[in-house]
Amino acid sequence: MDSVVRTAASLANEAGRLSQMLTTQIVEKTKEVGVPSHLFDTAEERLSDIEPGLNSKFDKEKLDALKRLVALISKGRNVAEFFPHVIKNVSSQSFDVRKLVYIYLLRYAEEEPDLALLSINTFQKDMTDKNPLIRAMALRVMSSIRVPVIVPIITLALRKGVSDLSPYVRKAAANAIPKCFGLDASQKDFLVELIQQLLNDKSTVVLGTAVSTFNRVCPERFDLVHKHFHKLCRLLVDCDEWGQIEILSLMLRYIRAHFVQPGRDFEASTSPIKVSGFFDTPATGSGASLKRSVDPDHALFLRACRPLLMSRNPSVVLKVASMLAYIGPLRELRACAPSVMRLVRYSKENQYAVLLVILSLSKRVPDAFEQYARQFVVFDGDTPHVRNLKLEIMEHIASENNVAFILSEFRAYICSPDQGLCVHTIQVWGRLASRMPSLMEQSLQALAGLISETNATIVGEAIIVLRRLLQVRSSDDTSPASSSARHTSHNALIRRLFDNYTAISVPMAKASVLWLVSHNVATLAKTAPDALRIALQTFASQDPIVKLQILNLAAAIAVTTEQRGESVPAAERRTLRLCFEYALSLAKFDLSVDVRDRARLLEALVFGPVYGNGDAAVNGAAKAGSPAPGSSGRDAVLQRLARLLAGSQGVSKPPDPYEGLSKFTIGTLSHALGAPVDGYEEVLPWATAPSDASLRAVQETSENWNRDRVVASDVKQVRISGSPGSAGGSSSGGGGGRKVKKRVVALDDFLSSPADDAHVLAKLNEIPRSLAMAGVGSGSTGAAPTAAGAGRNAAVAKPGDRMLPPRAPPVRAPAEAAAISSDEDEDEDDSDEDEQTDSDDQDADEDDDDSEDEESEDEDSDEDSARAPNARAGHS
Amino acid sequence: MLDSLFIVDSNGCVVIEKHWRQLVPRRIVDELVVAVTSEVAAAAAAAAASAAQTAAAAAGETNGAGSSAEALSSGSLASVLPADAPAAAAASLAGRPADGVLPPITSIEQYKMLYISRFGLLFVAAVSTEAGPTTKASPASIFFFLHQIVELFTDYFVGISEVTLKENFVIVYELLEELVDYGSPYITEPCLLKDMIPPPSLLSTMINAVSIGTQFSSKQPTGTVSTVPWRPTGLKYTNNEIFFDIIEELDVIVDKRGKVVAGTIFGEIICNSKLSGMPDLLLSLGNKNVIGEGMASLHPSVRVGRFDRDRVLSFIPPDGMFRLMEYNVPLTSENQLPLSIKPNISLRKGRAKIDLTINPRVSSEKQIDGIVVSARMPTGVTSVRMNANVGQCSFDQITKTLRWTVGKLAGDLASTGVPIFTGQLVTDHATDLSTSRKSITFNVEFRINTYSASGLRIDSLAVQNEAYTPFKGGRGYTKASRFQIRCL
Repeated sequence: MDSVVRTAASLANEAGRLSQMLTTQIVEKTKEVGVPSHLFDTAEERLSDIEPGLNSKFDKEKLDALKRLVALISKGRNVAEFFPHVIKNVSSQSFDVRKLVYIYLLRYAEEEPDLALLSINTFQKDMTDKNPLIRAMALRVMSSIRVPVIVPIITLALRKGVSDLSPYVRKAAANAIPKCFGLDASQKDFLVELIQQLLNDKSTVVLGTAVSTFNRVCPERFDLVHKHFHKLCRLLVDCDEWGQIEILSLMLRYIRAHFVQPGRDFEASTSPIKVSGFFDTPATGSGASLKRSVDPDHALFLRACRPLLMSRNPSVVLKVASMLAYIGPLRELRACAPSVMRLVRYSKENQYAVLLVILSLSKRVPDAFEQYARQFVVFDGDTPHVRNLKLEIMEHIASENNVAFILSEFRAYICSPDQGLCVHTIQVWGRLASRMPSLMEQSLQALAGLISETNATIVGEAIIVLRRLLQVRSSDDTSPASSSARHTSHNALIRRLFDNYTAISVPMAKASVLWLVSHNVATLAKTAPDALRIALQTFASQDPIVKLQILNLAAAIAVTTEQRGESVPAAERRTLRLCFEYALSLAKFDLSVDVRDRARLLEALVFGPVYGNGDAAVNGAAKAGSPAPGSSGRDAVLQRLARLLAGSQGVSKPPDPYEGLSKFTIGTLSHALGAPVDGYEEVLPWATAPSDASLRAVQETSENWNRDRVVASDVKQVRISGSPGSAGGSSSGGGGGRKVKKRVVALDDFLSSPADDAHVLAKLNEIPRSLAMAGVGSGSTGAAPTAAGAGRNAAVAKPGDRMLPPRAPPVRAPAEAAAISSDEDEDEDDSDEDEQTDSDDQDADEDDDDSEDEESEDEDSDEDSARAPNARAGHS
Repeated sequence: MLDSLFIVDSNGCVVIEKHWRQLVPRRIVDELVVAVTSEVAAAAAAAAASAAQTAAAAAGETNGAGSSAEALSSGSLASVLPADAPAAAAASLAGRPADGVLPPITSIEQYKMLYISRFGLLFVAAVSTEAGPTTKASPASIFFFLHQIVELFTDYFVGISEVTLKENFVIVYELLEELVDYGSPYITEPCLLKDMIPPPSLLSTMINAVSIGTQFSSKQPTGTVSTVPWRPTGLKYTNNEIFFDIIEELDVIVDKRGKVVAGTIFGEIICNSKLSGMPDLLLSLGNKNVIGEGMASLHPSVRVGRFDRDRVLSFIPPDGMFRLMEYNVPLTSENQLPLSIKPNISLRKGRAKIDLTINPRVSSEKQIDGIVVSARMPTGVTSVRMNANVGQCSFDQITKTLRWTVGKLAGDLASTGVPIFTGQLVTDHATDLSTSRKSITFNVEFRINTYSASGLRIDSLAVQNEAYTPFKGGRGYTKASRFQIRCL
């Protein structure tokens, strides 16, 4: 009775204390509810709270302290000093605490490798957790700790992970392999073995990651892929998006390395064969030429890519499209154009990436995007990059069919109030017109209309482009007599351009006008001298590039006037000579070396023979060349000079701002930047001889995952036990699972209870053994007890005695290594199986060799490819 | 191969940084932020300069911009984003990106920076290598991944801003930890992520705040992995309901005679599923032939083969909101437009005039909401004397923007009459608009509820594999995204 009363009293007491605590807590915390970002903002001020918080026995306080730490990390503070306090919490019971510890751990593990090792035991324990997500997380975090010492432990965990029952754990294992490879490249052989095992996987969750790992660790081992080729093609559509991209990357390389480039008809065919009709029936004797062009396996993959074009992920669609540019027939590339066009508006940043790819694709296959010209119109408000790319693409896809539309768009753009758009349109227009001569006249007219604009930049750009177009046109004119009308329009245009000479402010444009005049001095007998007069007035204030053109013009006029001889009035000839002398004397004292140099050159070259003390030169020329006397010799010299001054009529190619892109594989980062990025590789060249189809032939299994048949067969309880029969006494798999669960709970209980070390060790030793009996801990659990025991020491240790033997972890490492070897012994069955498959591979390889020999003997490839499907049919 | 991710707020400060493969120094990001924001400033200054009337003033402006850019790069990042940054962000939301000059892919030192700006925040991915010719480092995939992150955050925190990120920075870190492993996307399936990292809720905030010491309990992930990766098992709802929204946006350019120059309808079907168990749905669409070959993209749950064959959507839905399908429909004829706007501009000397009339083309019971017509006037215009029989109009002197807010408009026009706008442009003496050959572009905004411009509609929904008949709802709207009328 007494005791009951006492208990009741103490209970009441407790309840009172609890309620008091509650109220104070609520009052305190409601403040924080109002301002939930308090941790982020006050983390700095309450730095001193963190350490006690981490050592608190309450999860809530630990969590609070950890959140502060994460806030400090995100503010860029270095909080490595808390490492020992944080690491103790790695074995916390609370999942929330552990997640935060992981974040901290991954950030600072490299700086404190010794202390980081203390966390390993927990991960090893987690690897045996019943929850696949916990197992996956443990594997992921442990492999992310970049401390080379733990490589043996990681490999141990990996071996277990790749044969885990849950696909998510296998995926985590697959992801961990490149990390392990990055830590210690000497493990490669072992890792490749694991990859081989992962590639056998049938789960689409794992497959994508397995291929990604393959691509990073051993991309050259195509022999591992052969027998999975068909499976990959089949499951491609069901993999997740990132996996699809990896598989596509692999296939791009695989196909280039194992199939010959299809015949010419394959690439260049524009015959209207039904696109789907062709590939729906690959190699069924629909014409020998087609049969020769695509290997059935190659076609199988191309067909498997089709559904990906409907992916919601734009990078998958782009990947398919850019890949088809390297391995697919043009027909396929054309077929994917609508899907690529769909991406053009995905987001403004992606738009840039998409347009870059389209630009490169349209350079390769202009007609693929021909009909989409309307989709590339520039909207008011497009960013400059997007706008420029759109213009560029329009220029590339222009053809007879859509050029009318494109020109009408260009006409609209040059009227835009946006100066950048105008300038770019003019440049692109110029390039388009020089590519398509049929547009020349209307382009010249439209651009000439811009000369009266008020904006100097636009006028300048228009003149530069006009100059280029006129040059192109005159160089195209093979028969000068062909169009006198054109000639007069040409001259009228030049006169019109020169009318604006003084108003032009862009030096390049001024130079262009003068260049045009000096090249047409012969036909501009009236305008040219006037032009020289006007140009000379402002000679001193011009850019060197303009001065050079003025000098050229002066020389050209001098020569032609002399050529024309008596037909020019003497007064005018005299004036022109003075003009030339004036130009030379101005130039001789110019600041620019180039201008002075040019002046001296012209003086020697032109002034001498044309005017004054020219007798010597004329005589020289007469002596060297023709025996004809005086005047005719002078004529020859003048003619030669005129030709010299006219320069070569070679048309300068307008610069292409996106020229750098074509050097790189479409769709890569290097391609987007137009400069090589670390790790860039070229696409492999096509194989010279196709590999044999029997390489890829495998026995098809019936248990493939078919998403069309997926129904609600949801797994409520993931079975842990590998072999239900072996689990001690349990008759069904479900029963085994429940048993394991109970044990794990016991483990957690035990961890939270304060127990002495001996007890711990005994318990730990006991548990994994029973787990192993249940078929769970086949791998590292044998090694776990000691390590876990030590970790437990560290975790329980008071802050004072945290100077736990720092050498302890490295000492433990050899023990782990030993564990590995013993583990390998245990796994003898597995390795036997591996050997079995290996030897199968070897057999297959031998077969290949044989068939290759055969192949070289009979050169008829028709027959060869006809045989391939048969072989495949035989296997399946 | 992501090396790092940074989220930068509107002040140019890094809110979140996460490193997966190596520590990318902050100065790199700061450099990018300065470049991005000074580009924005320069663009704004350039716009101001072009508005300025004399060349001298223009030169002064650009010098000013140059010096301010120098000031920015010289140090204080506190006020990097200019005052118009929110406006720029808003513009980018509306599909009208700010006029930045830095391309979204740039390289700073050995790092390649790819960034997107959303909701006033800058999401920056730093990449340093390209492993092999064909990898995840393709720019498009990095952009898509950044978008996925933004969408996930929006989903988790119900809208995303500087404040929500700071409030939930722990969850943000946890998510980033799971999303990416060793620089490549790891778990991106929201269904799985939500199991591991529960989204914040009012309840969890309260529990967090009130919980005391040992009473604190943490939720373990259930770890029940279903055969359908995108759908958790064991879902139970008392009311089984599913909603489909067809949302369409118009991008169209119309010339002044009302003919469509170019245009596309961008549609998406957003589905909100609250169904128990593991239902297998079959959704058939009405007028499905508007979707051409290759013009649709599907959620991974949709069976592609089936869609290819008969244009029906057969799928097991994820739980909650998701984008079922996106599609494009070319817009070629003005008959597809829900309204027509006829501008009439005459720029004779001394008498420059703009007239606008709006004619709805929807059926009479539909109503067009939020009609706004705006246009940038030529630089010489100093004011506009304007008048409209419906709605309000205004003219902004600084940006030279004319804005006519029409508001609601019923399909039959009986109550309002045909909306007409007339405006007289007043110019300064130096400008003669009649010689100007610059075009004027009108931007039109509007939104029509329960209307689809393409004509696509939800026809029927069949539920297989579950006994119940769910409540089905369908709504949707069409809005103008970039509806432009070009007048030369």
